[in-house]
Amino acid sequence: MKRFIEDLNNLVGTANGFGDLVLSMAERSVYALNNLDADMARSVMDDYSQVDYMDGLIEDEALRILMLFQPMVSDMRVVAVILKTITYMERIGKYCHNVAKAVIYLSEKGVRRSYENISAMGDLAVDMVRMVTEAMKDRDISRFEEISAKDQKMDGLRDLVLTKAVEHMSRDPCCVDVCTYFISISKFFERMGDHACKTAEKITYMVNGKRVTYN
Amino acid sequence: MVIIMKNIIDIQNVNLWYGDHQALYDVSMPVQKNKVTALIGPSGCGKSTLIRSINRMNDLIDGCRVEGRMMFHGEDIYGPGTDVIKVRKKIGMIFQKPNPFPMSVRDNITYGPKIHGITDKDELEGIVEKSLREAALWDEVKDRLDKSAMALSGGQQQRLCIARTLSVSPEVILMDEPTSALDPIATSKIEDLITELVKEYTVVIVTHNMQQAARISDYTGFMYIGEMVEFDKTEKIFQSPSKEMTDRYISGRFG
Repeated sequence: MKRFIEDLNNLVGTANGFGDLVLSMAERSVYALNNLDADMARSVMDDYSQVDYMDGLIEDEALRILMLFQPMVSDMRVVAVILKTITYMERIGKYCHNVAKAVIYLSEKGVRRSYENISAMGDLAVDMVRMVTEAMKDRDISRFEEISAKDQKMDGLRDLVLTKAVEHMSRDPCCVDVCTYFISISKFFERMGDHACKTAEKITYMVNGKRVTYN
Repeated sequence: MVIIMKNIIDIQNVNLWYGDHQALYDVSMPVQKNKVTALIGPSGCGKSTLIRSINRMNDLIDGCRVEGRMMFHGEDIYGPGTDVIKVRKKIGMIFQKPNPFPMSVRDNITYGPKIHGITDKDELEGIVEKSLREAALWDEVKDRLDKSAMALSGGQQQRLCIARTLSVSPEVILMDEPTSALDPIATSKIEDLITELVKEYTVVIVTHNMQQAARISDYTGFMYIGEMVEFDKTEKIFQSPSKEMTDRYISGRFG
């Protein structure tokens, strides 16, 4: 039992560290976008290999715990939810990587500033990822009350960005490539928000055993 | 918690004493027909006492006193005028250690029916085959019905005991840790058998094996120091029980 509790605590610790890494990537990708900072963007891209590695590491460790200890009730929920949420967090890390890659392209194109609404989407995405990484740590799910509203706001902004970008492109065909990249970035942030919602649903199940829908 | 269902047995506010020692405190639990109901809890929590009181096995213990109601088909098993022999025929029991009679396989099965007055040879033969088939033992013993039951393996002996219980056409089968003396393969056979048996019968099982309770039962009751701490659908008990104590016990943090 002692060994199980130690191993389980280590697993939770590693999963929390994984969340911190992804949150940091989200923050830095938004900073890189707002400042068209290619160096910062590169640091985010570099971190993705670590995300990929940790995803596999945590999965292996969770499977080993299932095999050795067959955890039950709340312990079972913790292990099962970690197995599930690392997939969402890995995806969020991948979207940060994609945002960073787009930022590098845009800065090379000489773009000097981002769209206001896209920056707002970035801030929302960071907020939502922070919500889930913190809830994973302190198991306080009350903060999820606002997550659906944030996700809806995200979808609204995404529509605005799309309309605006299409407008730009039809006026000035020269900016089609840049606009396309901005559209992609807005899509990445929207997806990050969705994955944060799914993660929040799983964390809620982990904490109280109840199935909820946040988006 | 309210579970509306068809109860073959309804245990209502049962208190039980062995002399001065109270072993059950105000225990209530429904047993639904054609379902497996599991009882879990640490040693000495009253699971065996409770299951044994369902067919009045505790009557055999001096100084045992029961209060409350133990309804079987709506009639109190402890009510005046209850035919205890009939109760035990309708509610059979399987124990931890297989306890076949030291006689042939066939005689083990026909013993009960004969006591209940069946003498026709063909009818008895029919009961032997039916009971052994239902207990998933027929193919293994059909060529050695006249050999001693004591020569069978532990797992076979336990299934023989189940067949012996089935021979008198019970409605409910109580099982008190039926697999704790068996190896994993024999255990798995008994578990498969239980899953088959509930199509025709109702099973109440006491087990120390949490995974076993989770695998085979429909409802689970968690007992602690003579009290029913929590009773609910097995899925709920093993995924997200209402009481923290249930969670702590099942996850192995105490007991």
